[in-house]
Amino acid sequence: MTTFRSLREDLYGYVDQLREALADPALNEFQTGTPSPEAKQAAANVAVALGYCRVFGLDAGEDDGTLPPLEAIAAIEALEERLSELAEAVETLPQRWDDAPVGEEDAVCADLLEQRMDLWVAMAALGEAACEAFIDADPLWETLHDKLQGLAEKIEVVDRQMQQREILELLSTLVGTELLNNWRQLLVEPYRSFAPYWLDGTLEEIDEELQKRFEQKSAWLSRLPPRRAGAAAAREQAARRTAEIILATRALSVAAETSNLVEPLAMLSWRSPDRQYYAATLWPSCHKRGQELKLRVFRTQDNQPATELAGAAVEFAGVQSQLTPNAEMPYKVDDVYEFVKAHSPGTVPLQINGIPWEVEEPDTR
Amino acid sequence: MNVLQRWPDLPDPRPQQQHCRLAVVFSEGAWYHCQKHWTSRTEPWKEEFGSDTVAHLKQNLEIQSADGQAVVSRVLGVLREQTREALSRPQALVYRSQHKSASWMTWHLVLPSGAVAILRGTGPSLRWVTCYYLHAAAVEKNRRHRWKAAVRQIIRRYVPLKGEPPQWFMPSPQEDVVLRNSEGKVTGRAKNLQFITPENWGFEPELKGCPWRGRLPSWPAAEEAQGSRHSRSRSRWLKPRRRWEESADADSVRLH
Repeated sequence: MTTFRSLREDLYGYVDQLREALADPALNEFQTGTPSPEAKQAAANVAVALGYCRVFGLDAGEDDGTLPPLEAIAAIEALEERLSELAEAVETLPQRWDDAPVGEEDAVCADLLEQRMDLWVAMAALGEAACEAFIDADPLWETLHDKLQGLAEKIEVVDRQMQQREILELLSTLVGTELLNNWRQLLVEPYRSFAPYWLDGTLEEIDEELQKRFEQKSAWLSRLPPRRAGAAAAREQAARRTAEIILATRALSVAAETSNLVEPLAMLSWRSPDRQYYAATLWPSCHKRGQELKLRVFRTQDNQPATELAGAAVEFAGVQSQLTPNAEMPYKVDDVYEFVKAHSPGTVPLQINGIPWEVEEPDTR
Repeated sequence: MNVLQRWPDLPDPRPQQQHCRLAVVFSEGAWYHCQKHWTSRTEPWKEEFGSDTVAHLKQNLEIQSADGQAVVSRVLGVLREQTREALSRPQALVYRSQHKSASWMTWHLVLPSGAVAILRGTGPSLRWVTCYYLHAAAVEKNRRHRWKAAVRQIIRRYVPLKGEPPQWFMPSPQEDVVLRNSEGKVTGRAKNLQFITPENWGFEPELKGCPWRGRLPSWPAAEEAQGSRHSRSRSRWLKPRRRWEESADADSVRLH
């Protein structure tokens, strides 16, 4: 097999990363006896750094080489641990995304994809190690081969988890960063032709679909009655449009695809009389019976959760509750829908500590 | 809003704001969010706050209690000094964000611990939003290298590669990056991306276009906690690579 590789200067810091990984004293343990978990992790760092050099075609110069079989086996064992952490990170991604303040969401998704990328490139270095061991008829070749096979199978399981629609939609927000384009630009053959699902355009397609969905939603909403001039008329209009949006939600059967549930229709919001706070909730175009959503209260000044209102009494569309420490109020879509239906064409009242808040024009962009 | 601490009189590193001071407010809301990071088993906060403090954080102490106040004082004392150090060095990425009619500056500070702190505000008043370790920094077991890992990852995520061969260049103030809301919808753009100071982020202002070369100047505050662990890589640890090369005759393959 011939690989067509253009060797480039290390303009990206990966060769430095390899040097740092190779300088780890824990690697000495491979010469003196059974490697500790720390030494195995050090070997995994070398596999990852070497892998980036391979898939990006970087010349590591004097530091270049191939992982010996014992070290490659140790690296695989450490990577299996990292894979378990990745699986947990994928499982908790939606919750962590919800909890992340503005500015941290990118980091939550990028961290996860970088962990997956580390595994992918490490497989390139480990595959090379297995190939070398086979050519050398190394006695550890079979063990290395089996371990590598086992790791690949475990990665497949995590990939299935990562390719769920909800996870891919969250990861597609990284299209707004430079991460994916930068990786793609650096890939060399044959890796470029066999780019993994996060670099083959899948995330960009999903991102485009999401943008289109928002545009369609906007078009539908533009058919609602036009706004009227005047403060009182505007308030009345906002209340009516909010009620109409709530009544436009469609109830789905219990067996319906859950991926439909994440499609929001509008951002509904209310403002405190002193304008210091606002409450907001995303309202879906369709929902399942019993589906729960959250009303969140923020400070106007900095758009951060109004945690100082934790414990405040809330009455939202007839549902009474208290604000959580994160200034949230969970509610059932059905309850709000039924309230508005029963009071149609009335308003959607929100009171916090007995004070009524003013409904604002729904955000349907 | 319950304010836990105010840190007045921090240096403002922006070139256009020389001799100005910044004030940072750390609120109870920020505390409760950050607590998830400080107690996460994947983030090495123990090395900054000490095992006892992290154990107390895990107990979810009432922060108004005497014990709670001691923990607040310890944790925020460490963060305040690291923030001062990051602003003094400086090691900051600053950009303007806009949402509806509001506009504010967002600050990403790389702390000497290797964690990233996010602050937000207008003018000289900033609010602490969150702090966390990027995964690449969290898995680096040597504290002295964590900040370098964080810097590299931020560059890889937010600066576009340009030219042939592709390189990272210092973004101009006119460039912007897309901002999205929680459903991924584009809601605006971050403007005036400023890496302060370019050299500390690995950019080389003396080269044409100010490209990134990743040569990060030493940072004593980041490196003081541990002694020098190693300095030389050992290439002989790896087996010599058998290289399959493209030769003049494309069909012939040479083994090395």
